[in-house]
Order: sequence, then structure tokens, then C-alpha cells
Amino acid sequence: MNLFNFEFNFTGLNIRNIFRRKQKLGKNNAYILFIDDETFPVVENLVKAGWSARRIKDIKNIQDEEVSRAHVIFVDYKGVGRNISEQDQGIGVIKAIKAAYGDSKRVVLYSGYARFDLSMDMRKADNQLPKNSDTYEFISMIESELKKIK
Amino acid sequence: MIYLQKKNNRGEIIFSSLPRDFSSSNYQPREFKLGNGTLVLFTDDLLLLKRAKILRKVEEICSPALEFIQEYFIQQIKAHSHTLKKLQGQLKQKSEALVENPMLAAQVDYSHQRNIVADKIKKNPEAAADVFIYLQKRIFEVEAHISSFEILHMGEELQLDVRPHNIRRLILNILHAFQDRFDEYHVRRTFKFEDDMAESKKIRLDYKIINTAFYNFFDNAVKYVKPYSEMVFCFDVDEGNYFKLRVKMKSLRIEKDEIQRLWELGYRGKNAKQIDGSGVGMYVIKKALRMNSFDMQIQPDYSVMEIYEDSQNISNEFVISGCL
Repeated sequence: MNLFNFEFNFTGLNIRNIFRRKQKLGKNNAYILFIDDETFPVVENLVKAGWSARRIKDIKNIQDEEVSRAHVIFVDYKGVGRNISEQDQGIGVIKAIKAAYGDSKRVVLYSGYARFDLSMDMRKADNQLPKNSDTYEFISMIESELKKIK
Repeated sequence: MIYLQKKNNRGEIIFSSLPRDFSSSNYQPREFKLGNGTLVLFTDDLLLLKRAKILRKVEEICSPALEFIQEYFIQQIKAHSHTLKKLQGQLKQKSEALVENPMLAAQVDYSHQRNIVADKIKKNPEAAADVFIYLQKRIFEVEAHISSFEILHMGEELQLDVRPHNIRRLILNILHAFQDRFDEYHVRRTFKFEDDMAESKKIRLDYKIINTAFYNFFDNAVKYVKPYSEMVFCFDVDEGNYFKLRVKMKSLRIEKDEIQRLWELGYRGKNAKQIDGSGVGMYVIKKALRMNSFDMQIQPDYSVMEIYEDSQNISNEFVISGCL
């Protein structure tokens, strides 16, 4: 085998993309999604603070437009994921998103149960946050998760 | 005499039935393994201590019973803590719309902070009004939840304060807490009886306890009602002063064989597994109604069936009955 004889397809290669630095994600360009069957004022607080954030009650599948454009996704523990996993609910949604998108999206389990039911399954999420957290805690979590996106 | 003490795996006492003036001189402790810790039995009955077989029997009976009780209370604490945390989180996050950044606020004096909030209200009175209405609704929910906790765990020990009340006004007062959620699902609420009728046929009841029953009822209804539908309230009183309050709605299918089981503590409807809940609400409703000598029956009508987002919805009628 000749190691110096390899094929390289230059079609569609954009030289600018090779040298372009990874865009820093922050308030101006990140999209934050909450998957929760109940409303929490933190979403409107984030919007007022200048973030692009939205809550949806549930998702049909992980290719949903809202999911694919999101950078950080907060998933409730119960009452969501009907179309993904009847058994696992929120954990099912987290597993499916992580399996499909890996570290290109960060998933945070946010729940009222977060402090006392830390089963192995719950650790499938990248991080966890209790539902009764301050908006400040949410912003801190979002900022630190955005830095971990690969 | 027998006293009990429960210790965790670090040897710390979790609970103890020992009296304050307990003197251990006549008592001999005996330890049993219980869950992650130990149960210590103190007795001055020498005959009992000498009979190893009886003591083993006591251990056999006590250990599973106490473990069960411990697990039951842990589950109860989790359920209540979850609901309170949810409400507290909503209250805190909503109030942050007016009083944001507590860390910054701590660096200025109170009057300065008050002026900042007053300025915000002046600049956007509608947004401020939205915050206050939201807080009022959630505070009402906190009160109802605390009352549910008392009914659940103290029940008949609670003293009743029975007075005649207008049932229409009572329902409207509770409905206001759910207004935003019913509106979100586009569920219309229609009363088929006038205030005059409810005023002339007042029902003698404990206001706070019935409030709690209706709070739990609407808390369930808002989760299971079919969006874009109507909830209808009817009220009839017969000549014997026996009333029937009917609440009719299109909601998640209830199977015939589970109607009775819905009143059991911890039972969740076969078709409701995907919806957040702990199976406490219906039990509290039944208990609160029973404390007022009222009853509730569920009458499903399977001839009306509508699918919404893969869920089967039927026409369910909830009938509350009793004497005025």
C-alpha cells in the first residue's frame, strides 16, 4: 500500500471554514429550550434579560426544529417525553438527545426531585438544577454549559 | 415498660420514645438491625429480656413494620417537598421580574431598592400587575397545599368551622387560581346556575377544607382536561334539601374498573401515567368531602370519545352531593 497515494475530495471545501474560529456562544446567539409541561417564570425572566429562550410542553421527536436549534436544553423529570419513552419520561428525552447530538448540545435535568432522587439514570444529563432555583442560578448554569459545547 | 429508639448508620438518634426523665438504671437496651441503622429497645421487663424467642419475634414484627412506616413518610415528604418547591420556585422567579438581582439589592440601602422597584412599576404598570396577580394565585395554591397536608395527615383531628356558603362564589374563588392554566389550554368554564340560586341555597360547610377539595379537583382537572373544550357546572337542590353539584368536562379516559381505585392514596389512573402527579389529590378530595359529610361520584360517558395528541378523552361527570 502506498501511503502517499490517497484520494482527497476538495468539492465543497471552503477554505474560510477551516481557519474560522469557533463562534463563542452567549446571550446574543445561543438558544435555550425548556421542555416542561408546566410554566415557570424563569423563561420570561431570561427573555427579559436578553436571552433567546422558549418553553415547549413536550417534543414529538428529537429532530424537532426547537430541539435541533437549541444549545442548552432544560428537561423536566416528569410529565414529558410521551412520544420518546413512556417509561422513562424526562430521562428518556435526555438519553435520546444525548445519543443523537452528543456534546453539541448540553442537557440539564431540572426538577423538584433533583436533590433527593439522584439515581444513575438521572446522571445521563450533563447537569442538574432544582426547579426552585434563582434566575441567576439558571444564567450561571447556561453560561457554564455553553462553554462545554463541542 | 418498653421504649424505642431509632438510630441511623452513624449512630445518631433519629427518633426516640424515651421520656425526658428516663433513667437507664432499671432498663436494658437491646439492638436490632433496622434498614440502614438500628432500633434500640429499652425494657425493664426482665422476663422478656430472658426469653430470647419472644425478643426475636418482636424483632421480626417490628423491623418490617417500622421500615414500611419510614418508607411511607419518606415518600410523603418527597411528594410535599416537590409541590412546595415548585410553588416556591414560581413565586421567587416571578417576583424577580420586579426585584431582580438580590445580590445587587443587598449593596444598596432599603429605600434606594424600594425606589428602583417603584420606578419599575411606574414604567410598566401592566407587567407589575401581572406579577401581583400571579403571586396572589400561587400564594393561594401554597395555602391549599398546606391545608391538603393537614387533611392528609391529621384528617378527622382537625376542628371544623361549618357555616353556610354560596357554592358558586366558592368555586369562582378557587377557579381564579387556575385561570391562566385553563386559558393556556383554551378551556371555557360555564356556570349553568345563577348567583341568586346559589345564594338562596347556601351549603353548610367548612370553607377552608372544601376549598382544599376543590383546589385538588381543579389541579387534577387542569392536567387531564382536553384542550379546546368546555367545563360545565350545574347545581340542583331537591325538596329534601339534598344538593348535587355536577362538573362535566371532556377529559382523559377513566376505565370503569379503576373508578373506585382512584380514591386510594397513591393510585394513578391507567391512562395518566405520563402526566406528573403523586396520586394524592383524589384521596384528599374524598377525605375533605367526607369530613363535611359530602360524597363524590365519577360518571364516565364512553359514547363521547375524542382523541387529542394520542390521548383518548371521554365525557366525565363528577357529582358532588350532600345536604345543604
